[in-house]
Amino acid sequence: MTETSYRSTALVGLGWLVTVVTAVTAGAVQALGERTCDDTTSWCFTPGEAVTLALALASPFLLGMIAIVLALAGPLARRLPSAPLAGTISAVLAVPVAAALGGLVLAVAR
Amino acid sequence: MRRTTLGALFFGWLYGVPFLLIVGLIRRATPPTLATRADAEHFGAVTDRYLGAAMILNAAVPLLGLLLAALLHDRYWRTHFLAALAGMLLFLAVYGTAASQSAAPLIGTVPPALEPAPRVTQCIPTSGGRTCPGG
Repeated sequence: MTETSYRSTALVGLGWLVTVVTAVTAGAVQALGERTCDDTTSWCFTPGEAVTLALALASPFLLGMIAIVLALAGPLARRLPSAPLAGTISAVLAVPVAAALGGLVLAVAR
Repeated sequence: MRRTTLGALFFGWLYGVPFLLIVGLIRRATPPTLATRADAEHFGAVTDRYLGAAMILNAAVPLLGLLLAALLHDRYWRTHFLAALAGMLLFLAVYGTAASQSAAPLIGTVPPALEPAPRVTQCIPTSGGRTCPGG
């Protein structure tokens, strides 16, 4: 176990994304409660529809996060002795990298 | 076999504790509009269970894993559970930050309900203090 494999590092990193997205979705569903749209006269979202819409809107960002984690897993796996450590660090580093790339895209597109 | 057990323990901690912590903190920070006080108490109790389980597992699993890895002479998982102790402190720091940011205690708070709280409608005179109209 001296050599850290790229595959397990990438899996640990992707596991973090899955965990955080699932936890935020589960928390949001529970925190939104059981609202129905039966008695509304104008348009309205049920919590399920609101969460689905939020996930759809977040999907490009999440795809970007997956790509960044996969890209960071390679160099980190080569430098660090442990797959859980390297995968966790790649998931943590993906957040500022994604923010910087997003800021760059916004600055260029404006 | 024993490697799988230790691995399951480690990854259960690595992903389970943040999952419970995130769900519990979201539930605590943004409770839904609850109709009755019984509903609010139940929601608060379930949130307590999420946060309590997160904190207990956070401390218990790395220590148990460290013990098991030492007993089984597994160097790989022993180093990983030692590192998990540092991770445990990080999760504790997250919990502590959330606790210091929130006005109410994280565990043991009942969210507000639409049902009005019972009010004192009767005037009770206190000796040497408040007097009531009409005697």
